[in-house]
Order: sequence, then C-alpha cells, then structure tokens
Amino acid sequence: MSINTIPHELLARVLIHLNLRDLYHLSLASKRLHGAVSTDGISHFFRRNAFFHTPGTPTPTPHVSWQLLASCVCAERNWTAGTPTSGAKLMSSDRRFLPVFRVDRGNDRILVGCGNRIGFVPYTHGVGGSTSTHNSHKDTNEFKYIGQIPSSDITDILLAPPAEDEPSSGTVVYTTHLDGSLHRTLISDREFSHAAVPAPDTRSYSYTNSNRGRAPHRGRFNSPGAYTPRPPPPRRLHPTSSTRPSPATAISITSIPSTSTIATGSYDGTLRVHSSALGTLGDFHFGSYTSATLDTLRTSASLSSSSILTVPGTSRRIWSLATIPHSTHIAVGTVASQSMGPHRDSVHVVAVEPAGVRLVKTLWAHRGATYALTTPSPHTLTTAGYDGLVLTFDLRLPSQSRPVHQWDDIDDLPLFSLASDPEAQGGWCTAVGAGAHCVVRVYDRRGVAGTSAGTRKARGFRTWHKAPLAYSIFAQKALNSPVYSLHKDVGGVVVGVQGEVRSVGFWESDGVGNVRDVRDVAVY
Amino acid sequence: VDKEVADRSVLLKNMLEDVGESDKPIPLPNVTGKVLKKVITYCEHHRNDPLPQPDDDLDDTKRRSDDIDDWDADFIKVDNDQLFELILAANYMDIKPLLDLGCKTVANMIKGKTPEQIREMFNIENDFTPEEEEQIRKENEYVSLPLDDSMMLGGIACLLYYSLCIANQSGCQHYHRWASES
Repeated sequence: MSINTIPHELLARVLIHLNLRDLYHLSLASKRLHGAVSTDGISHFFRRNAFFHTPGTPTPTPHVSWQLLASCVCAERNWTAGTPTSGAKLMSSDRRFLPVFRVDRGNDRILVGCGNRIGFVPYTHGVGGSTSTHNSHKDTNEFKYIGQIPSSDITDILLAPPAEDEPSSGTVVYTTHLDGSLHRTLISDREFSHAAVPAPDTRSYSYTNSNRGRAPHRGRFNSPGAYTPRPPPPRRLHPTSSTRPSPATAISITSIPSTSTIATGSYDGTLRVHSSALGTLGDFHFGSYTSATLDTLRTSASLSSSSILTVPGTSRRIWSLATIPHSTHIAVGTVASQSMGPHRDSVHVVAVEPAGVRLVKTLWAHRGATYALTTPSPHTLTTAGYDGLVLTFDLRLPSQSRPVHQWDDIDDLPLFSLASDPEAQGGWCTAVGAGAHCVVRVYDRRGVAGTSAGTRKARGFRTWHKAPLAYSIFAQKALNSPVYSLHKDVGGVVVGVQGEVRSVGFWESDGVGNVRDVRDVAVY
Repeated sequence: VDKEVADRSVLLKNMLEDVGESDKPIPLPNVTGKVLKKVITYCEHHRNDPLPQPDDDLDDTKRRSDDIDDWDADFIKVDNDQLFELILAANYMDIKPLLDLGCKTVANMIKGKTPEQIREMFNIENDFTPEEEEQIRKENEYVSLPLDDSMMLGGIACLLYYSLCIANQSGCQHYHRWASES
C-alpha cells in the first residue's frame, strides 16, 4: 500500500493540506499523482484560498499593480476568515463598495449611495419621465450629494414613503451599513434642493504621497500638483432612527409594505426583521438586537429545526432579499462564504408573521452563489447566480420544484444583479447584470426572442431551451467591471458599475427594440 | 470494547444503533487485526473528545496540518504500509479525526520534498517519459521559482491574474511581462 495506490478520494484528502509548490512536486512523482493534482489538488487549492467564491475578485486593468493585487488578495483572505468588518479592507474587495442605488419613480430621482454619502440624480426617462431633458439641460443631470450618514459605508438602500406625522413631500431612506447598522433617514425636499454638486476631486491617490490634503511643504520635495484644497465636507444627515452596529455587515434590505416591516440580511446568515407596526417601536425606533422584544424577531430563535439562516460556522451569507408582492413572504438568496464547491446554494422563502419568521419553502437553486432575486409578479421568483443561470420559479409549486425557465448566459459570465419591470405595469423584460465587461442582458419573459443568440442547450437539461435573449448592452465599453446594481423599467435600464452609474434608455423604441441612446447619469 | 469507544466510528455507531445491544461480534472484513488494534488504541485515547460535526469540511482549521498534538504524533509514527492501512481503515470505519490525522501526516511527509525524494519515500516508480516530465515542468515553471512567502503570494496572484487574462481574451502579455520583470 502506498500513496500511489490509495483510492482517489483519500488522495484528495491529503492534497488539501499541500501548498502549490508541494502539489507541483507531487505531480512530478508519477502519472497517477499528476492526474490527481491536476484534477483535484489545484482546484482545491484555489477554492481554499478563496479566489473564486466571491465577486470581489479584483478587476484587472491593463496597468494593474502587483502590490495592489496582492493587497486585494490579502484583504480577501481576512474577509473570508470572518474578521469583523472594519473599514477599508472589506471595502476593497466588497461589491457594495461600488455604488448602490434605488430609483424613486414617484419623484423621478435615482438615489445613490457611495461610501457613507447619499446623492441623487434626476431620473428623466422611462414611463412618466420626460425625455426632453436629454442633451438639452445638461446641468439637471448632474450628480449631487445630499449629505453623509454618520456611519460606515452604505451597503444597500431602500426607499419608502414618509410616515403620517412627517412632511409628506420627503423621502424616507433606509440604509444598511458595513458595520451592520440600519439607519432610517428622512430627506426633505429642502435637502434635495440644497444638494451640492461635489467638487472635482483632483487629489493624488498614490500611496506614497503622504502630503495629501495638507498644506504643501515649501521646497523641492513637494511635487507639483500634490496639494489641492480639500472640498468642503458634505453635510451631515440626521437619521430619524438607527440600530446599533452588529458584528456582521448587513448587506441587503427589503420591506413588506403591508406590515411596515423592514428585513435585513447579513454576513452572519441572520435575517433580522424590524417591525414598526408592533407597538413598541413608536417613532420608528428600532429595538436592540440583543433584546428579546417583539420588535426584533431573530430567525435563529424562531426557526426551530433546520434553521436555514444560521448554518453552523456561519458559512452562509444572505446576499439578496426580495419581497414577494401582495404577501408577507420574503425570498432569501444565500452565498456560501467559504467555497464555491459543487453544492447548491438554496433560495429560501420565509414568511414574516407576528409570531416569528417561518420557513415556507426551499427552492432548487444555483450551483454556487445566488446573487440576485426579483419578483416580477406575485407568483414568480427569478434568481441569478454565479453559475451564469437565470432561473424562474413558480412559487405555487411545492418545495424543491425545478425552475420553470432556465436561461443560460451565452458567454457563461457569472451574474451579479437582476431587475425586472413588473407585470402589473405591463412590462415583460428581465434585465440581468453580468460579472464582467459591464454587460447587461435583457430577456423577453414572454419567450419570443428578438434573436436566437441565447439558444443553447442549458446545463442540466436534456432538451434545448430557448433563452429568449432580446439583446445585450455594454453599459460602459471602456471598463471591465461587473454590473453591481441594476434597475429596469419599461423605459430603460440604470446600471451601477465600478465608480459609475449609467442609464440606458429606450427612447422612441418599443422597449425591446433598438437602444437609441446611452448616457451617463453620474460619474464619480 | 466499550460502547463509548466503538462510537468513535460512525460505521460501528450506525451498526450498533441498527442491531441494538447484542453480544455478537461485528465483522469488519476490510481491517486486519494489527491495524484494528491500532485503531482501538486511538479511539480509547480519544474517547472523550467531542464527536466531529458531519458538515464542517469547510472549516479552515481542518486544513491546517501542523496542529497534531504530541500523543497523536507519537501514535502515527509507523511505517508507510501501516500508515496507509490506518487511513484506509479510518475511512472504512468512518473515524474522521483519525482519517484527518493520517492525511495530515502524509501531507507533512510530502511537504518540502523534491519529486525524487517523494518517489523514494513512497516507493513510487517514475512512469513519465523524459518528454512528459519536461512538459509538466514547463507548464508549472511559475511554481518552481525560488519562493519565500511574499513571492508565493505573487505566484498565486500571477496564476489568478493569468486566468483572468484568459477570461478577458486579452492574451497573456501581462503575465509574460510580469514573468520577465521578476
């Protein structure tokens, strides 16, 4: 008996303890070992070192710096090991470091969170929006900062109408933050009108320039251009209520309007439900996480068996949440924090009730991570994931049913974001943001494809499925960035890519026709 | 053997649960007496350890190979044949800590050795032709650079970047540029 003759699965167990160099030496020992290293050893090594399990893989640019890449890798490692979220390290590898936005259709604004600041830009296309500002009123399209929330970076935004005792013209913004806190801020119309265009930031960001933002030293050591005055600090916003920071970053947020409930999903796999209708809250004061009052229903306590959201070792993160219309149900998409692995990351549907949070069903889901969810109609849930699939489920079918549609990305790109125009408004498109090249795919849910480009044999299916791909949009041709956030309505698409929010409108078209124009909404 | 000791093995535990308490011996056809004795020694020493969770393969601590305690290290000092038989037995009887111990030990034996030393240690015959061996060396030359820890990271980053370049369809000029710089 020797290492050359033991079964493959045992050999694989040995390989997981080896580093790249030892694997290489072992692979030179014999053909069988070479085979095992090539098939299992190397892939395990990379999975273990967590390069492929998140969308945080640094985007390569032609002038990539190795120090930067290495530091990203280090940051990634810290993050994977479950280090409490503390500032910059997490940001550098986190998708939500990049802008998140929500479109306020009632007021035709796009609210953008970048860092801990909130800004907005008018939203002037789409149904009900005017198209006349296009190219003619350039200044109205400028991005303006409203102010900053005194907390860490924003990870997700949710908009809501103001409460009865608040001025009705404002907008309520719920924000989740890297430090796990949740803030509710009322932004009045006055604050919108006082919002300022950010000063152009011309500071040098090189690591070696310790002189940044300070008065220059006189003398020859001061490189020209190293000093520019700091732009004035943004206004401070005052949240009307806030929760305390929690140990895990909150990354997604959704609301159930009928019960005035806000749910947040976080990195430690906990779904937290904050209810404003249960009496104790009064003026939207969120309860403390640790107290056992009714205002905070912790799923870990309420789910008795097979508690889905608190898997041991916190190996699941709740990456995406979506409220199912006209119900108190929430769809929860999870991401394994440790490894891509061959296992499936399930999508769960939970019911939020006064008595607690109850698991309703678990859906057959993606191989890998589920990054985005959307509910175009009350019975339909569409999910997108790292495996490049868009799955559509009929929620009336029992648990573990197969998806009714499966669309495969034609370039096998991982999918990061998803948006669909609601059926109630006569929409029929689902837009999917891919993990590279700022690609947005638009599918026609009715199944009549604009082109046959998406037709291929979907993985796991024996028959040929037609993916009704209408078209692909390159939102920003010069950038190889994932599409981090996406909004879709009948009039167009708003796309959040690295450092930019872009809007793609379908002017003078039927919604599934030609893209006539692409314009920038905001460029940081 | 005590029930507590037998319970270390998931195979035996399940069997005992299925048949209930009985005095009949359980046949273990795939394990020799000598190895079984060794396994029992191990189980008796670890009888009070918490049972491993079924699903903690993803746990990072499992992947460290330098956390073997003294008793275990002493226990596992056996010849190669017996070591692999122990691993097989642990796998068959489903004793995860012992299996991990065996695999870690083998991994530790491999660490830092050249291919020739590995062959010699495990008595492996070299079945590569010189051309094949040259081909593998060529494919993996980025690994065989003299590495300290920081360079190791660079190597990993290089691999990562190389794969991204391919994904980018931008060719591998960046990789080559990096390789020539170093």
